[in-house]
Amino acid sequence: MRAVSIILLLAIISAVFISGCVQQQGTGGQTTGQEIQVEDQAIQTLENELDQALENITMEDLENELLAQS
Amino acid sequence: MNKYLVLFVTLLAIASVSISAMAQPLGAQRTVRARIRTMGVLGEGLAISPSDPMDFEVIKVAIASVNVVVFGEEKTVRIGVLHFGDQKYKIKDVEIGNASVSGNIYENETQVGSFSADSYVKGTKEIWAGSMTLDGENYNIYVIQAPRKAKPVEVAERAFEYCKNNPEKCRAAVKAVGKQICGETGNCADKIKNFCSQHPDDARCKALHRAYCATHLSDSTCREEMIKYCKEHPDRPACEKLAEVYNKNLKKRPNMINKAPEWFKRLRSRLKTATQLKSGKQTNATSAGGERGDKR
Repeated sequence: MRAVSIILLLAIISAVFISGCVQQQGTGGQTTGQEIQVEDQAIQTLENELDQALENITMEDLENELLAQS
Repeated sequence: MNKYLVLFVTLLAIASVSISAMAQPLGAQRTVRARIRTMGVLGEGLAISPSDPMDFEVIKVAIASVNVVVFGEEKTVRIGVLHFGDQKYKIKDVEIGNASVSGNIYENETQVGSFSADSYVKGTKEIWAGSMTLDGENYNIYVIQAPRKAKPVEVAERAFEYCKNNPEKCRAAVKAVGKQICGETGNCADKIKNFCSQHPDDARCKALHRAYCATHLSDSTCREEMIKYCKEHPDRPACEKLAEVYNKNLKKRPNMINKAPEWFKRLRSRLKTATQLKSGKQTNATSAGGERGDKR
């Protein structure tokens, strides 16, 4: 019984340590990973802005052309 | 019995610890979102070789200061994207000034060039003109700033920021345009933020956004709004600041002044008179101070 308890206790401690390591790795890698994620997200936002804005130019130009012709 | 209980509790503990360890980053990743804080360049144009005018390429540029929330933490990054023909580059080390911008161009984290440009007003549009070096080649660049309307969330946050920093002026602006959103007392910035995010086209929200823009002319969306406003109301004090911004760039190229739009020329002459009046007052004050000093 005592042996089982010790094994289980060791298992809990190992689990806590392992999970801690997983977290730490995440945090360590997070700095670079996070920076890349921030840049990628920002770039994606800018790409969307660019698409929307340039679509607007086309529509506006078309409208102006039509107004000028009428 | 005791043995099974201990075993069950232990397994439960191991499972919960493991799940929480794995689930945290996944849950946090879901909160990633970005929004424009200060828009620099946004548009399409040409890069032309100074030595051979027929050596040119279509470029699309977007440069801004972007707020990104990742892992529950808000970060501001000044970044851009350049499309040079079919090639795509990242722009980093960005500096966004009042109608000026500069940065370094990167391909796969390796610097391959740099650029700088100033903006000039033509009609009611802004044109970015400057120079760029890319892969060892030099170019003159011209980009037409695309029209961009501030998004509801931006209107709300800018109204909030203006009201937080200028509670009295905010209250007066809201009251002047129409029925008050807030009560007679307290700072109503939060109420305005909430209201303007749902009603960005409300006259009060527009007025607050314009008030914010009058003092944030490094943002091209703000300049666009102020250009429209100042074309209609050139006598407003806020328009002097806009004139100052473009005047700074025109001073570098005096021959461009003749080609400036009429509304800007009027604004510029008003600015000139105002500056002369100010310097006159200062001279008078100095000489009066000097006289008083002499008398003493």
